[in-house]
Amino acid sequence: MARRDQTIIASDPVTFEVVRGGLYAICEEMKSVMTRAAFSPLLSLSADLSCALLDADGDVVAQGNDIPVHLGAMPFAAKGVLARFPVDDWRPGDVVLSNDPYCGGSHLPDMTMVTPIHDGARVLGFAASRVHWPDIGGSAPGSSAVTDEIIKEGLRIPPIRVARGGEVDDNVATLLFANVRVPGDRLGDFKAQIACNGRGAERVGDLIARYGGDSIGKIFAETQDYSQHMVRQALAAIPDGTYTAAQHLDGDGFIEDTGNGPLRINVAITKSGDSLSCDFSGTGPQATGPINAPISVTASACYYFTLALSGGDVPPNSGAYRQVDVIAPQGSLVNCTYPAPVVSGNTEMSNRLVDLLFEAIAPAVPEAAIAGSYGTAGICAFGGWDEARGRHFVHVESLGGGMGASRSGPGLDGHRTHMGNTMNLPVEATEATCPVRIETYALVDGSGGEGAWRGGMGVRRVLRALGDDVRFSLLFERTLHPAHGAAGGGAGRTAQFFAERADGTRQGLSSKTAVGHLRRGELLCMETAGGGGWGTPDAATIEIDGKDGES
Amino acid sequence: MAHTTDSRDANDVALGTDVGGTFTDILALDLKGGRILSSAKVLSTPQDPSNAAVAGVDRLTEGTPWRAGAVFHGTTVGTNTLIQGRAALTTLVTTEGFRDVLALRRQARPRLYDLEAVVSPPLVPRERRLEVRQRMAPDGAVTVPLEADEIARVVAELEELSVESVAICLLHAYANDDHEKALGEAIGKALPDAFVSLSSDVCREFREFERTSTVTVNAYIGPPVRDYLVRFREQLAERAIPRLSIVKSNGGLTSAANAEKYPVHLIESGPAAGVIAAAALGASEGMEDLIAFDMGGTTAKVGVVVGGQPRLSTEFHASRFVDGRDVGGYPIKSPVIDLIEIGAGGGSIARLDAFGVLKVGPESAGAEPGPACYGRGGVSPTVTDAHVALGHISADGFGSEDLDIQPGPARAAIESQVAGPLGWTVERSAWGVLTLANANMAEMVRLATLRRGLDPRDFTLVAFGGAGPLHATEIAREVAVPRVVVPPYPGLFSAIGTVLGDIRHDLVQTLLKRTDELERADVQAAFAGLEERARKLLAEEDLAPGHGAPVLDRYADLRFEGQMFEITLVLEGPEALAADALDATFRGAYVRDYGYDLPEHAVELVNLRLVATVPIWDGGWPTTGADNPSKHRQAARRRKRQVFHPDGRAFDIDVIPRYTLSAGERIDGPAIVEDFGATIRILDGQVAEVRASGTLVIEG
Repeated sequence: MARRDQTIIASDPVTFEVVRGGLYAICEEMKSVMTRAAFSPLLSLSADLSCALLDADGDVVAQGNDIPVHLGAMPFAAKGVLARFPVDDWRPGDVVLSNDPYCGGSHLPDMTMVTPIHDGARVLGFAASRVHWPDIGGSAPGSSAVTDEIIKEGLRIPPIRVARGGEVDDNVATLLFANVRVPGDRLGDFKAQIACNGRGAERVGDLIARYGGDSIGKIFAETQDYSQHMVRQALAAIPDGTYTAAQHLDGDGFIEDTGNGPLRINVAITKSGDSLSCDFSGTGPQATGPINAPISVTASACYYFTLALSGGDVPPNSGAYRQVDVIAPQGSLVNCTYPAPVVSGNTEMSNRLVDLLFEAIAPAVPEAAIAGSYGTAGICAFGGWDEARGRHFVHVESLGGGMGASRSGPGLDGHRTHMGNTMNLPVEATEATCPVRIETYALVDGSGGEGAWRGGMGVRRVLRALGDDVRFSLLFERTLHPAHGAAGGGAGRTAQFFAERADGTRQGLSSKTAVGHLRRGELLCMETAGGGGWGTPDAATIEIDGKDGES
Repeated sequence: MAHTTDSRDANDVALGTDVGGTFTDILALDLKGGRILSSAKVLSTPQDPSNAAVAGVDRLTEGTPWRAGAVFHGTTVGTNTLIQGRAALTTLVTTEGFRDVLALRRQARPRLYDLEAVVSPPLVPRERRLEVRQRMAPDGAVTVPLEADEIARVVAELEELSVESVAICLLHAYANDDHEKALGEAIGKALPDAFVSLSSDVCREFREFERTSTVTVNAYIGPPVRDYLVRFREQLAERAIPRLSIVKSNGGLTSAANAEKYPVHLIESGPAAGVIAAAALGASEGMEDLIAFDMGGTTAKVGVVVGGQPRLSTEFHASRFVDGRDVGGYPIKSPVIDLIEIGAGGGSIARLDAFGVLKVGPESAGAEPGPACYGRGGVSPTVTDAHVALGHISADGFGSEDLDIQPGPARAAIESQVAGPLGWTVERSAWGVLTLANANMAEMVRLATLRRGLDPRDFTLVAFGGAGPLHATEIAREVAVPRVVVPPYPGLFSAIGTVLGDIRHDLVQTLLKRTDELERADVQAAFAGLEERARKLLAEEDLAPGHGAPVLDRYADLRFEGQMFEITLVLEGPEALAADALDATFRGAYVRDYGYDLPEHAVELVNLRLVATVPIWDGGWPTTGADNPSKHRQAARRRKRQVFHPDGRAFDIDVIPRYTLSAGERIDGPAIVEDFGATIRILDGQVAEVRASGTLVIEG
């Protein structure tokens, strides 16, 4: 039982909890406005969007149950916005847009919009959202291609004001929509995002009208303090020390790294008292291809790691991030500089950094550390000419894989893990719109690493081309480097990709295949990696308690 | 029992029963006179809920001059079977390559930062998920035929396994059910005792995970639900009550015979009845837009009625929360009254967390030991204890003979767990508990309205359940709902609702086609198929004589090609079925909802829906004139009671027994109205008016 004098909350603890709950609910409400109003190729990328409320410094006060890689990077984007548009320069109804990875963005398709929340003349905070656009220009539809510079990845938008006092700037909009594919859809998304932020600002305005701006401002700060204290308490329980790990990525679309190449990521976590530093010194230089992470993405991974390490119940916001210091050498894979391409830093590097961080911290918390996961967002894209329907088609989806096992049970099978959480698309929907037949969507037997608890199983998805022009691109990981086991558990099985040609030959494919081509009847087989196991397999008797329904 | 002295025949009296966690409510409704004849509350019997219902039937029918012709039943047996895992040994038969669909789900995990994340385990373990070699295309064309020896192989495998129940879900079976039917027939022949469910019968919609999940839940709970209904019917038959009607998740009624085949449609049966009652009450009081707010001991539920119709959702996730943790649950694709439920009730426990922040729920003191004020050993302060500490409810007004309300233990629990550590008074702490509980429930109302694009200021809140009327007025103020309505017998409201629904069947057929590639004949043929299915279901309805023809309403779900969510449109008249009419109606609706059209985008038809209803009750809100209030008026005393402000100041408030009120009477707040089993709080500045029906309408 806490005594009152131990509390870190100066506000009335009832009002605090009422408002705090309200702020998180507002983020969910923003999301519902977005999903209802948006034109949905956005949603066909499976609700790839996130909403947050920020204080006047651009720090996150509350956020939705959305996409971790978006949310951790939000304060970086906000601070980039505020550097260009100082806080006293905002009017109600202003909207600033940005997607620049070199100014707090994650990758170009993620469009961040920020709208002020006023208390009279003063800016008390911001409503912010980050939405993945299916296209932001660049060299290929979908803006996710393998290139060697960010300029080829699409339209780069440093913070610009797109609306002033509620009026959208037509000049800006005209320029923007002249540079993206299917501009009509994007205009719908753009309007929906303005409405989404507007709703957030309006609802916080209601709270200000009721409790007063000073009280709400104070609760903004205390909400962060509250999360910070929960993290401090969790970190204090971990033994002090420095813990290191190193891993290699498969490739960047230009080169492959079998374990002694340059795609090396290194971390030294120093845990001291109730704080952490994650030092990535020794990590390889930024790559030619787009697996580079801007600092905002690297920090996102460290924040996710901290929240997860703290037990998963800490209300996420910037307060939770204060105990973490991120040190990443400039010009490296984890803090790249212009003009390095970054589009898959978000999908590949961010997830591998989480695995790396847990591998490093394992000696300090051998029970709590999770084993490695499948290490990617699993993006596969299809397109081409649909003879039967007489039209072009484009289809993008993400594929799940094995999650690492933890001390409490086997890893999730075939789910999205760590930094992303998008849904799959129904086979029945895909077949109704594309000239492909999906012949298998299954768990890969034996792909989870062995252990007292086995790792989650990877996914096998096999599809057959029903036309002569089915082109595909793959953005995956872990064909060369399996997910590590934890606490004595075994590694997961690696991923594999191959095409089966009309003559029956099997053609192995890289995890980063820019453009492949299938003719009628040919097969593409994708198998994502399994998660690592937890604990030594000898202790496997505990598997009998029914948690492992899929063994 | 002098049956002959009453002119009512058996078809004139119906019994409505609603099974709750603690009590089973039952009432007798005179269908001709529109009057509630009697009612009773009996303790629920979770082992077999029909025992309590039958006990209630006996209690009500003992010595009465009338005979009941039907029992209407809101049941939680489906949900309970699912939660308690006392279900059938189930096998799933599915298309080759897809047996893991149930495990893969939609691949998103429910909790973002949880390293020990779990998702609801598949109801059928992997070794009991059998694959069958066959395949269809999205248009229903067979690409791999289902051979006779393949059927034989599957049947032989099933015979090897111990099988009580079989779910069959083949890819694209929504477009062509031939293979599912062939398998179903063969399995039914070989295993005549098995409960066999076809996805094309239970859920004829595309999206394989949701369809597989739905048919699997149907098979999983099928045998226990069937056994329950059979037992219940037998007991009613022994009492010469011929008919049993079950409330479905969509708020409609169906015969026990249909309910046995589609138990998955009963999952939200219990909560649906309350929303039906709200719609019926609203109709008789001239209110079309309502928020049904039901609060009991452990949970609070909110449903919405728009334009007199309960708002439905097309998907529901059963068993989504385990110990307050989101585990994803089991999706069920079937129209279900759109309900929001949270673990907030009179028994919700208040506590301070490690940082001195107050939390209320979701842990509940339950019925045992219950709130501290019950004096049964409960030491954790609950929402009910907060009301007792503040004087909102008292020993002399609680309306239950079984419970003795004790303020001492209530105050002691608040003092030791909240007030002491905070350095606050008990009264301030108790207000804090209520403020937080109300804030949580107000958020549910926002979720049910604002987040669905509805403005709470246009609504009336209908409060019922044991604790609903205690909280409704404050929640309404919090979310700017201008009016609160408390029906007569708020504790029996859901039981009343079981009797007031229509027979209703919702049928759906996926027809994925662009409007520019669609023929009117495709639409007509699909609707003809739906009507045929509706006829078969209605033939099993065992309707009492004298009912009119069913009303058939047609709907279509459309979207812009490439979108993932559809808009449902009403199709009125035969010309609405034409492809260009569908296209134009959709674009009009889209502009109305979102403000713009996308002229270069093709429109896609996704589903056709048919709703077949047969009204069986059109008598408006039943009267409750069994008791004549005037005879109590002299005996009943209005009195004053001490209650507390948040600052600890005490003041006296009028406490009015509800049965002393007469039509047209006005009560100025603040005041407390005590009813049997419920307390109504009228706040300062509010005015309550008593309607002729006995309904209390509170404004301000």
